[in-house]
Amino acid sequence: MSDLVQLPVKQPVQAPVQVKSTNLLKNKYIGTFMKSKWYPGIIQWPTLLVFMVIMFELLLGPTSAHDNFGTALTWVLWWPVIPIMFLFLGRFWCAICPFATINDLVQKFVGSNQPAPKFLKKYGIWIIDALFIFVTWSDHVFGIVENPVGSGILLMTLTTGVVASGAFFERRTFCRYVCFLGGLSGNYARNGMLQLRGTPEICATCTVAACYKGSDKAQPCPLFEFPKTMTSSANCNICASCAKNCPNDSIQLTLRPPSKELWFIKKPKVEEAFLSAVIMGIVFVQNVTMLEAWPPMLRWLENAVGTTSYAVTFSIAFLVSMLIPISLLGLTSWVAQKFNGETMITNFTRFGYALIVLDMAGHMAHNLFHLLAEGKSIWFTGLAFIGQEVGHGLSTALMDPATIQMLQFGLVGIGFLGSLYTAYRIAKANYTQEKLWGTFVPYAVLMVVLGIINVYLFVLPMAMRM
Amino acid sequence: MKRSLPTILILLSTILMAALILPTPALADGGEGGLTYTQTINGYTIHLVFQKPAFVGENPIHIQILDAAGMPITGADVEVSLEEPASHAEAETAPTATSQSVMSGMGANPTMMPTSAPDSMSGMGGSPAVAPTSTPASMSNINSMSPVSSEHDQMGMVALEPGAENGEYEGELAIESEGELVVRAHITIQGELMEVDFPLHVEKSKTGAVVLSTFGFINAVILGAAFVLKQKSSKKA
Repeated sequence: MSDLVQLPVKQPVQAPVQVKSTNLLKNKYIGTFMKSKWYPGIIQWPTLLVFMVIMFELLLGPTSAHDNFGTALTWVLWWPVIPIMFLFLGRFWCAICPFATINDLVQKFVGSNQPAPKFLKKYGIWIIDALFIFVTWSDHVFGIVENPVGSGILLMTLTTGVVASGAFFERRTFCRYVCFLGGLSGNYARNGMLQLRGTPEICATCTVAACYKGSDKAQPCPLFEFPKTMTSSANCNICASCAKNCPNDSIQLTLRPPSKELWFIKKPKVEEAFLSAVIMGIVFVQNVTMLEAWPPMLRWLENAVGTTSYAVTFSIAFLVSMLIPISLLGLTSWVAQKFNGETMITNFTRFGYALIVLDMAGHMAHNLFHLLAEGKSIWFTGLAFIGQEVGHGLSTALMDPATIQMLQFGLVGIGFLGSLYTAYRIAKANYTQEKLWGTFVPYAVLMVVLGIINVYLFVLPMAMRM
Repeated sequence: MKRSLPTILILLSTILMAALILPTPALADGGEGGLTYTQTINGYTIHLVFQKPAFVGENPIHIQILDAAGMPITGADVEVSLEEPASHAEAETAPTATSQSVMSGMGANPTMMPTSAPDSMSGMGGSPAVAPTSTPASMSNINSMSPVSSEHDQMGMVALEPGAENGEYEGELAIESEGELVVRAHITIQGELMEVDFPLHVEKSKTGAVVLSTFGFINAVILGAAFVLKQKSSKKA
């Protein structure tokens, strides 16, 4: 991670009160399974198999997204389910991700295991931010989700990236420093309910560091983490290599309340705060392009800029959508600095993390529609994939629109409360009582504004993917 | 040198990836020549011209309308929609008139064969009307992520604008799937609405296979380079 933009911590973050939580690795079944040689391979390999089916369908199957099993599995099932997985299991997906499996395979046979390039270590998150923005922009301008071949190109590009990374660089360099989904999952995993850490008292006397270096029992940590000093779940994929390697049985896997990690970020980074604001902008743009007001807005833009090029007009709209949450966070930080005496950037960086909860809720709410209103398309396209006749005009909905909308509002409501509480806890952890409320109130107003925008966007009807 | 080789390879593959990440429309057969489909209805001759053979993606199309004397018709409202033949068997055995009720009894004699001359408008002539019963086909505006063109209305109709020449109307038709389809032109001339169907064959896209083989080649190069590098490293060691 970049050290350039680490904040000067003027006041030490108040350490969380340690609450004894059950170590899941001590559970007879969970511990045995996760420390066995079968884990995570037993889930990894079937996932790779499914990925190959998806690639086959996307590139060689029906050209219409409506009929493509690969499109349904990717964008109706996987993409909506993945943030739910991040919430409950942290970054576990990255342990079983087919790209990671390909990386490991290539590394095993032809890998030269060179250190990750310094520029990736330094600017990794910015690269991830840029890629995430680029992929979302490409989706709208060129059509990735709507076009099976476009989706196939995206997945093949990622495959080529991990092949190159696995061929030349050590561990999972691509996953840690380049993968845009890794950046997203890292941010979301901070909000997740699963936490893996070393036991401080045991690790304090350890001189082996087998968790980081690896041993004959298992590979070293694929994401370059050192559980002894690890304070974040952003780069832990719960692969349990450290648990297998540790000779002192120090590793603990515990449950925690969602968002708890966000309350006590010791070294907040501006690029991570920026990513959380960007994700909010992306949720906005995904919804805005589905509004009835979108075509008139597009025409107004066409007249204003003098071109009918969708690439140009969408880029402007995209930029504006990104700038709304970024500038609102910036404005709020500017107000907050008046009360807490720190710089605007320090406030921006520190409180940007509070947006993650609402980001995640907005993301889940948006995709909940696709999962529940189009869920049966997975079944229909799956039947067609194995050559079964599927009737025309069948509904793909698993639930009626009103119920889905209520669930969306519920999610956004929970996300709003989560972000609000997180902002409060961040303020409480960093400022004295006299500065606490002056700092918190502007961010509370920000969360209300962002919450209202999100609710408004979900009031409007959405279009289908399939 | 030991370090620069992988760096160069990564750089090259990144450039290639960046070039390939931009999805392109799937060409049906890559042919240069266009296709003209001709139908006659109510004394009007309608030419539907595809600049290239129909492919999956945005297809620029032209429609030319001529009256019985061969004079171009200007000021017509022209819209097209993409339909899907409900049944090929039905289409072959039970041809029906395509025009609205106002046109019943009039002699519609569309030709079914496309010709390969894009601008010649050849192939006019009389043959029995063939109008397969059709159902709406999937259009691009079903997708939440796609930009819905302002010219595509809620019924999946695409309004064509007057073209450069008299009697010519042009626009873009989004085709999402290969196979047998029907382009239905909805033409209003002096308040009289006519609908005429043009059977269309969209060939299976080869883009996926091309993408797969291109990426396969790039990955093979990377793996080959990595293998050579590893061999060299182990020899040195």
